[in-house]
Amino acid sequence: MKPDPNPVPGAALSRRRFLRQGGCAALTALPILNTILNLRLFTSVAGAAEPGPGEYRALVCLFLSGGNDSFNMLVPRGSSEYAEYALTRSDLALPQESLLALNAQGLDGLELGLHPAMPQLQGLFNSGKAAFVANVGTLIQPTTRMQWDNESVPLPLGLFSHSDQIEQWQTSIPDARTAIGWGGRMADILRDLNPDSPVSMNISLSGNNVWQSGLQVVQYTINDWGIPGLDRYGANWGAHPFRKPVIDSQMAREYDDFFSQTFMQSKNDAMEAYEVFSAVIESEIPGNPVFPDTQLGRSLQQVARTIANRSTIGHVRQTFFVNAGGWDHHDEVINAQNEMLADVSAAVAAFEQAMETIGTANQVTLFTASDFARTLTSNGRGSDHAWGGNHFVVGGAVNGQRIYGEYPSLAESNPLNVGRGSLIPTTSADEYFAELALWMGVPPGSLPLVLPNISNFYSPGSSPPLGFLA
Amino acid sequence: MPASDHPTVPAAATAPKPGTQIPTNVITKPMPPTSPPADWQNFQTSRQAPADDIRQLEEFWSQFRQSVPPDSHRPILENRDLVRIWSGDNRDHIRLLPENFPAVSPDGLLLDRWGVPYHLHQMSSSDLDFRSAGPDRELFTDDDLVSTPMPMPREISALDFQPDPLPPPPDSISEPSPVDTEATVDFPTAPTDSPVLDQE
Repeated sequence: MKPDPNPVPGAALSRRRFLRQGGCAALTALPILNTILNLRLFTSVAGAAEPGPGEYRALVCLFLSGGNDSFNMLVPRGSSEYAEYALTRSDLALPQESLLALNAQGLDGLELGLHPAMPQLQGLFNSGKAAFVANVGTLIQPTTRMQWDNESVPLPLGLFSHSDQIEQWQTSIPDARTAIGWGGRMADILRDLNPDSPVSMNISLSGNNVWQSGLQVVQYTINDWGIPGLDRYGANWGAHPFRKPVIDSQMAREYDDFFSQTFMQSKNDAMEAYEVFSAVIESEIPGNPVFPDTQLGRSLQQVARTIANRSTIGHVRQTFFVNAGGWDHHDEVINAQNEMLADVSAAVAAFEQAMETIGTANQVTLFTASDFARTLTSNGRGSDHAWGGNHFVVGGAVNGQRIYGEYPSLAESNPLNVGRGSLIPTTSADEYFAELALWMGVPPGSLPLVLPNISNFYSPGSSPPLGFLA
Repeated sequence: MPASDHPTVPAAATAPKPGTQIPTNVITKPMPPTSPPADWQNFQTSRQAPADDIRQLEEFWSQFRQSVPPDSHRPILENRDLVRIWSGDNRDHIRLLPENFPAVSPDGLLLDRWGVPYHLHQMSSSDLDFRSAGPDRELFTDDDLVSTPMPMPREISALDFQPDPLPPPPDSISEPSPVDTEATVDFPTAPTDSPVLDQE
């Protein structure tokens, strides 16, 4: 911490000065984390880096809920590795000749391919705008097969269950149940960078979600066709002209009880945000990029529109949550993925193209998340819930054309296989998220406030957790 | 339980799998009073319909998780894990499955009455869905038997309620009066492209 350049003896400490001088760096021990968080994120003011002129950063979380069979998205393509894959996956194996070639760097002879329905993602990867993170999953601490067998290491709660794993991918706290997400905790720290905006830094295209829920920050929800507003507020026909003055007078009043006052304040904030956002929704995206006419395409189009209007909203930091559901393919996984991965690939490529047109490609990173990967072995019709899986990140800041983490052997004999081809993750979701949080501007010393278990995997201040972002 | 009532386990299901471990030295404790011992007598017999097998499994799971919290046993990746847990491999060593239960194959899988392992689907750590392949012995086909929402306990069943009949709807719904009853109000006409005014 830098000393105050102009100390004034005896001067009263402002709240900001007090926090800056409070030795916050010492307060990172995990046992007191909850206390700190409950103190309205003690370091939020002191920790956030001041944005440079025009600096903007956004994260887009594309959540593939249901559990994407990601070992059929990123697939071994070389002869011997493909043979292992084909043997393990049996009727779920994709034909070797159908796999799209990835010109990945630094794989030391390992040849990987992409699902044939994802040519646009192949293009992004081979042009250096996309990367994969391999065999990543929820972990409390690094876990070996021996520890699994001996039950000598704590495991994520509700491993292999949908709701628990969705929650943990969004909270990054697999050893407890909480409704506060890591995106929310990050926003609690960074929100001061958007000082005057009535719109939350966290914007959801898919309703309320845990990832963007913080102690102070809640998500602002929009959808692929617009924004929800107060029904017929401001309408000037029928009996509705009465609504506006009545509602306005309700909101202008001071209430004695806390709950009424808070409710009215929230309503007031929501209406202010609506007013600001209405102009955004009606605007065109520069260059009029074409998005697929699917729910995912329209959602990412809305994200692009919002990013294009970030100045109108007054944001220099934003997160977006887009849920694409329906990946729980206990049967028909091959046919379903042919359609759904094609949609993902086309929509993500359209989004990346829009970011380039808008001029924010280097400031926006899209990343995927999912409940879990799926069993490598077939149940006869599809695949079941498993653990570690593969994810991709896209954006101008991505050190692309690379696979981060360790792509595992897909042979059934792999010691990471705890049953039916469910693999112990070799990269923790914490490391994956830490890279994203640091890129967003979370100070390294504040990383444990966002990711309480990060010190089990990574020492803040050393080299980047995984290195996929410049 | 009459053993003859149980179907013969097919050869494919009886082949022991390398590495399979069924706990043999578990310490068993009686189920606590809130969870009466599971009654398997009619399970997979002609005394009950095949769909009732699934209901029974759901009921046993419900009873079990009341006694054994979800986070106090190994995660359930597959059918075999449930057999292990129900055989006493849990924090309190509570045993739900009888020893040498005929519906458990030698390699530790709980089989349906057609000899096919049940498919388990974990919605959450406490909600587990069971699926039987049905007579065609093939999962995810039309004749599968699957979990259904648990019926309401008899004492609060909807059938027990005889709600009062609803009052008749009013002939018309009038606009609420403004606060100032003396004031005259001119209602502007709705624009033609406005949505139809629904009743509030």
